[in-house]
Amino acid sequence: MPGPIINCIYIDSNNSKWIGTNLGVFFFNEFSNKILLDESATGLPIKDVTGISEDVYGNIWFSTRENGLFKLKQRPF
Amino acid sequence: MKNIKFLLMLLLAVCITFCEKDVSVSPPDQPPPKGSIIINSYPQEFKIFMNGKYRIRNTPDSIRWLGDGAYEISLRKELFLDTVFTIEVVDEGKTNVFIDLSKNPRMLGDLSIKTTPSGAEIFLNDSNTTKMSPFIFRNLLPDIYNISLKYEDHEDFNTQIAVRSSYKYEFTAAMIDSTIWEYYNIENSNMPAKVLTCIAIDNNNVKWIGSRDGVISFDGSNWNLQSPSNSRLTHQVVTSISVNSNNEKWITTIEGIGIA
Repeated sequence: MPGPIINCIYIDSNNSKWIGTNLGVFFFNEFSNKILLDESATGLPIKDVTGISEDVYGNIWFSTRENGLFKLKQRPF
Repeated sequence: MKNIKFLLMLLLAVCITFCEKDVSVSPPDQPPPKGSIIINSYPQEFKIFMNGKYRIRNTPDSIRWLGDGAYEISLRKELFLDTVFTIEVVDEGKTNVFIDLSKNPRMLGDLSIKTTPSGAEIFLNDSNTTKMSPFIFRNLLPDIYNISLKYEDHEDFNTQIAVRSSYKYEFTAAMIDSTIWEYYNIENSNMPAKVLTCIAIDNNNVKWIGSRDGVISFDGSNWNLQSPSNSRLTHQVVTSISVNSNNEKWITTIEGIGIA
């Protein structure tokens, strides 16, 4: 089975890594195993993630190819 | 002269004979048969078929001018199974038929609603059912139902479901936690482009989003689109955006680099 297609990477102010892929966003840090934020995990059509950025309040924003813009207001981990 | 008179008389006689014959060959008026069937149903607006042919009439309606005999009637409507029955017209009489489809369990359908997480309030056609998910509504009249699911701190989930006769519709709604997520797209917001390519956020917390139609800026309430037609952007297809310490936005397109 082919792996996910990786589009972008972002390292936030907590040194956590966010990987934008065709399947959704993978998240991991030194305390957490890899978590996939996708439609089945969130109920939101998160896929084909093209960009990731953190705002001044620590929210993480994702841009996607066709499904709009997502703001993660608090870390669910 | 006598000859001519005779000929005229003969012509007249022939004419009268033909005319009389004309009258005599026309058949006597047959009164149409007086039998009738009056068909009503609950719900109404079912198409009435008689002996397989659509009468172009919907319930409630009457079929008139029927002679004695057996007539196969079927009532049809989208989402419902067909109802077929036979009516005997006797002595050209009048027959009243009322079919209550809600009393026939075969005509009804089920609707199973699950949510993640469980416990959402279920509204059917804008009225609160006071039921919580997961729940199975049994024996619903076939129809298109507007379903709303409400759960505290989650976005409302709205959808339309067609319930059919003898069929169980099952679905699971993933409720979106609005305390965790915000979601913007071209349908639910004024986001001016669909295909997004990248995102960067400046020191004023303005989101700069690359798209195939230019650079979108979003301050949390207002959307703005800069494209080659209204800015110095070199091309509308943006590939990446970066913000430097002076809060300047460096933008690359498929044709060059610019600063906003």
